[in-house]
Amino acid sequence: MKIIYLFVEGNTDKFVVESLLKRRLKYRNYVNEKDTPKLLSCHIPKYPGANGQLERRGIPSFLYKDDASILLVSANGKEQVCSAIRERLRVAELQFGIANEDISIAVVLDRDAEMNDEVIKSKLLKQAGNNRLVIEKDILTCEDVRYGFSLCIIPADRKGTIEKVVIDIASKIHPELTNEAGLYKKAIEEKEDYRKYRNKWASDPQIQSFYADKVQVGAISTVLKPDSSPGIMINDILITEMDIDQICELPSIKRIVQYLEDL
Amino acid sequence: MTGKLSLDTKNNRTLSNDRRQESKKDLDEGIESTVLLNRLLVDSFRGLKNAEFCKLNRVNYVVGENNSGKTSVLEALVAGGCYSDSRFFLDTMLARSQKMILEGVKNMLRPVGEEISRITITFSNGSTLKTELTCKERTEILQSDNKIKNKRLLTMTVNSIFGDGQLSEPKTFWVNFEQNDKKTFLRRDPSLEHKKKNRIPCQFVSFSRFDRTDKILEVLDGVFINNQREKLLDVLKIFDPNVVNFEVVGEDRQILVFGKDDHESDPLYLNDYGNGMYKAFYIACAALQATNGILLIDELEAGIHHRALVDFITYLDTISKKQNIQLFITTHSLELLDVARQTHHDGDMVVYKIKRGEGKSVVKRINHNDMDLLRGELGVDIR
Repeated sequence: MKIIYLFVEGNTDKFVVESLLKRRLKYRNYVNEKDTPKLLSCHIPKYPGANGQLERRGIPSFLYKDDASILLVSANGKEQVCSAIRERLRVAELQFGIANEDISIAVVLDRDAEMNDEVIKSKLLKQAGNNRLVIEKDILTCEDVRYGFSLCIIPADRKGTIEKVVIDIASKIHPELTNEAGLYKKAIEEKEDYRKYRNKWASDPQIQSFYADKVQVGAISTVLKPDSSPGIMINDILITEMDIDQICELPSIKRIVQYLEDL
Repeated sequence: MTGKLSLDTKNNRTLSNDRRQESKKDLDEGIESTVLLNRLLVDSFRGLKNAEFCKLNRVNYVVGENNSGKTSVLEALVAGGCYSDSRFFLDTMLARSQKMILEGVKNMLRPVGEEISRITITFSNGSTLKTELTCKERTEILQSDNKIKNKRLLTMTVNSIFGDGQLSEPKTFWVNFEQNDKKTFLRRDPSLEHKKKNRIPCQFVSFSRFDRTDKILEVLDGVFINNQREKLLDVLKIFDPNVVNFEVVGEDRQILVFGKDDHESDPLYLNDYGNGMYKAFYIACAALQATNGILLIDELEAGIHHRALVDFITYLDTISKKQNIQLFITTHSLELLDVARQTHHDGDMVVYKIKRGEGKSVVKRINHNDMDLLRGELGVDIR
């Protein structure tokens, strides 16, 4: 069985990727620890500790289909991706005593403001070096053990983050709602009165526009699923409501679907 | 009964806060205990093969699945030279044997498929103690009363060499186990005692032996001699805040525990309390007798409720610092490891996870920072 540790930047990415894996590629969530391969189950948190800690952090998703199991991890930020990889390989190594080369590492990164894929890759290589990882082509080396490695950058067709993908999907299913939410976003993005809020997001206007996308997704989510987070809305409503083949043909999403199929 | 009872009701208080404050005070005063052992290398001893425990710390936890060799690590420390008298050494080597029969002894002492067990201990000052244990069996024919009998002999030879820059002369002693008429007798090298030159204070508390009353009394005598009764009272109060004193009473030397309400009811013997309190008392006695040495505790958590663990680990941490004791603790408990992570000072503790690998034992070292990440952040199971 293939074991894939799949790392994404944040929770919204995680919900989109998980939804695509389940709807398009027929992955399912493991529902019981005893059915889960040890290379995945070793990442199941055991809470609360004796300190009474109730806060759950960094819980990955555990998915499987016929010949593959995926540990889907949100790194909580682009800059944390390589440290998250290192941490998870350490957990696996502790479980088995030896590093397991059967694991493949997959990474999905947001494009943000950089259209050149090579620039994004070189930044990741630098981050890997800071975490004592070496990435060369399709191999990631950690503590002298080599793992298969692959990288996907989204959206494929333009600058932005995962929210661009979500907005693309929403505009196909709920065009009016997406349009209205877009006007709301525009107002937040342009009105002088809201500058004080925008400045809290980021100082760079281009980065502010990516945050504005989150505002639009939030507005759509509030209507479609008022009592849940945007992530839940993506998983429960957005991707299930539309024909998955149509979604997968969207230019912004086509590349990641192909990437997940090839894992 | 010895001495006059002194019932100190003023000291009958909730222990935890006091102990924690005391512990903090120790840190504030900058009390630093030194680490005695720095590295342990065990080859072909019981289930352990080429198991290396490097960068030992003041508090060392050993985790792993059943039959991974956790208890063997503790036993290897003793077999490797961490003992101050030969009886303790033999007691440890035979502790698992249910009955003194030659086959049992042979299986306990002889490593599987190997002729020699090798244990190397490196001390913090750079000196090393290398020990080799061999077991050989032979049969002798005896003739008495016109009858021919076979006597089976198992000889364990312990050969150790101490080096602190230059190697000293090797010291060797033997122990014979003789089986005759289905009875096994033990005979040891009469020169064994004086050959033990480097005496390391060591105590071993294991789940299988904690019910040995004679052992606990022996350790307790040492505590009385050193006038450390108050420190043991603190342990009893973790489990029963009403306890105000204890005494060894009667010809059969029972431990009687006095509570502040004893005018209303008779005091109880320590045996009448639960296993957790009994075991904690034994561990505390052993700790006080392991000053400037090492304390080995097998499955510390067994019998102790998780709420009492916090206070007890705090107590043990404080005592071990004050008495300069290096701790080696095996456990299956994630709760204990969480308590340990929060109790022991940063950089003071380390966890070794052992696993049987092909041809060698695999030992993974998890330091305090790793613990913070793996347990505190990711919440994963490190056992």
